[in-house]
Amino acid sequence: MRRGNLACSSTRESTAAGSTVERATAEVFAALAGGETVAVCCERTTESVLAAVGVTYLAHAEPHRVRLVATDEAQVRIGEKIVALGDGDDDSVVALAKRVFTGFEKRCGTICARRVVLACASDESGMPEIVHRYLRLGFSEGKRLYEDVAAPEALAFAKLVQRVSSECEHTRQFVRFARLPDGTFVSVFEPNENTLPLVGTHFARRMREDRFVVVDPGHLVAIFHEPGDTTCAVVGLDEDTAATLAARVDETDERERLVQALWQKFYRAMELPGRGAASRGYDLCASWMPKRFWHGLPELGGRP
Amino acid sequence: MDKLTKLGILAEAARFDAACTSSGVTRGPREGMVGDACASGLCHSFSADGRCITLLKVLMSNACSYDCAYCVNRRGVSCPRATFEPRELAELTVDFYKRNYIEGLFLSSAVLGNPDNTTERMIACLEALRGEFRFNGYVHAKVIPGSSPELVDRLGRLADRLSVNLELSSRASLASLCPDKNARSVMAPMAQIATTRHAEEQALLDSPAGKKALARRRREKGSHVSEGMQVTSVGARYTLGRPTSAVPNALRKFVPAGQSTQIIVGATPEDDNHILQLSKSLYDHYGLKRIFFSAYMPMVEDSRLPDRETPVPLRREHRLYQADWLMRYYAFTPDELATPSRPWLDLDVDPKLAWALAHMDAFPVEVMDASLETLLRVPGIGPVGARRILAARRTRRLCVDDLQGLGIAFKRARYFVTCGGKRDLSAPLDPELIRQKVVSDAAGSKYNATRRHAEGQLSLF
Repeated sequence: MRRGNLACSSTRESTAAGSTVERATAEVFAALAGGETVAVCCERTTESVLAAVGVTYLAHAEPHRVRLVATDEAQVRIGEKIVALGDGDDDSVVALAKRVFTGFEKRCGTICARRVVLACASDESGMPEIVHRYLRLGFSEGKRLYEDVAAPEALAFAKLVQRVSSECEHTRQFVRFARLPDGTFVSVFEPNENTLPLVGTHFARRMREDRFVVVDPGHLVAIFHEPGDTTCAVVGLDEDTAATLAARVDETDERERLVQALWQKFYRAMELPGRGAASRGYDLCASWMPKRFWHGLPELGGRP
Repeated sequence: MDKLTKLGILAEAARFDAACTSSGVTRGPREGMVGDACASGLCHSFSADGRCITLLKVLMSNACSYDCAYCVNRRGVSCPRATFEPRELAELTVDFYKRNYIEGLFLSSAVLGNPDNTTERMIACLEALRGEFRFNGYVHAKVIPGSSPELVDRLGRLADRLSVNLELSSRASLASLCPDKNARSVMAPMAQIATTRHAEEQALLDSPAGKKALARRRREKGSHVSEGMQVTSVGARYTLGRPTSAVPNALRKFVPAGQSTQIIVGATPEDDNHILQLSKSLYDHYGLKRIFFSAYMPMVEDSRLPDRETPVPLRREHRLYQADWLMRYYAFTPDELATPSRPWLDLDVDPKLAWALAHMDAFPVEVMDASLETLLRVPGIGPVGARRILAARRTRRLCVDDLQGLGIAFKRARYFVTCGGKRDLSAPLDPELIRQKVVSDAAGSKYNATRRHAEGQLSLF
């Protein structure tokens, strides 16, 4: 296998990459030298996954002797050593992740690199290893990666991207804001994947002049926007703060309740006779609008 | 009358319009303004019957002076009447938009007195929306047949998309059911919109901004970015056989998202071949972006119309949409889908499969060397799948398992393809057997099982 840009310049720069990366690299290197296979444990963040891939290259690991695994699903195999990379807050981790991302983008193109960011937002079991294999395929094939859509690594990766893209679309569709008396718009949304950081710009474009916050209590993430900003700030939350923010959607006033009543009235008026689930054969509304979102949709009588 | 009651009446009166898309134009956010527009559109909700809700679709008024036989708002019908104040509707649009309920406004109206009076009221609403409320989102406005050209022009500079509803697909039907309208009053604004858009395109092509955008578009067309989009994006971007606009819609000031129309299906005797021929002609002559088909819903008693107990022709509507899609994205002609001698679309199988079964001499197709046009004729292979095959076969020899991974509906395609010279030996070759198999598979599907369970019997048509 040909080596990509990253592997060519690896060892001599590893010291500059910092302590966490250096320690993890040394542990991987030692385990491999001792005849073991290695599972590198990472967090489910773009930074952590990309840095873990970087560590496997820095340690000159042969692909069949190393795998990536998310911390929340790590199970050691016989003859395997677990190496924990730690979270993405470490500067060395972020720096290595940037380096991997830049190298991959340069070698395979912007579109492939963007798809890596999408895939890393997936909650799917085995995500880090799927991304790892795709990155290795990319560093090996270069620009041909984009056209090699039938490669097994690309097919598994495409499924992740598809899931996250679809959930991003659900987020753009089904987030519902409630206006608080102070003029702030608040929403609580619980997607299956960690989509809020990916759709912040979309909402910033829509509501450029408004102050708003969207909270995801499942992933403990929120996006905040101040009037005039072109992007949203993405903030990780603890459980108490997430619950406090989420509770704010109930602080609505009379005018907000009127707007919600108007929306419910409009929604009910849109239904046409003779085209419902019985005539059509299945519930098209439920198939387009998954039931897991219904509790947050005012038109379906849920909480705003 | 309070706003809640008014909205109920005017939304219910507008629900028969099939169009509810916010697609066709990309417009970025602007300082001090509310919203943006995205060419791919976005559905924010789905009504209980499954239709998407993208826009606040309402009538300005349902107090109609006309007497179209099929219409629930006709002047002879006894029903509650209401009319929005222009500012009231503009404010409601922004309220809904900011809560992420909608992408914008779909504004139609009954004929309030006369067409010009109605259009002026609609313009007042859009001026308040764009001016006072600084709304930068999507607006679709309906042109009232008979409106003066000056007002149509003003409306087109405030809305993103205009539509003139044809409603009935022949002059005879129009004369019979719509005594206050005539073909000219419907076609004239459609022609005006097409002509004005064409003139604007020519002017833009000569302007510095137009030349710059054109150069960028040419660069992207030949770049890796464009190539990449072909294998990952939605098929709707890729048309065969239809000219696309030379300038980006974002540069246009007049109806940037183009025009559309609606045809009612099942209220009058015109066959599918007639409707498809008419659709093709409208696409070619007026550059329409979409034609919406609305299955006739018998809501009013009239001897010229089907009985009120007649089921809504949902499956016919569905087949017409499929045929329309084949004409727009697969370069099928109307006569290939429904011939003058067999003018009705097959309700049992989709139009592409029906065409393939009637042209078995064109199959099987070898996926390793077939052209894009040939692949697109295979049932189960769509615009994205066909392009993925083209990309993937450059790097590896494909097998059947690869096809399934590329998003090809192999269950449908297997009768019509070979892969590396091999075909699925369990797939029959005889068209009648294929048809029986497809129909029996469909009858046993979850879709039909659920339908039978829900209703006790089939009643789609």
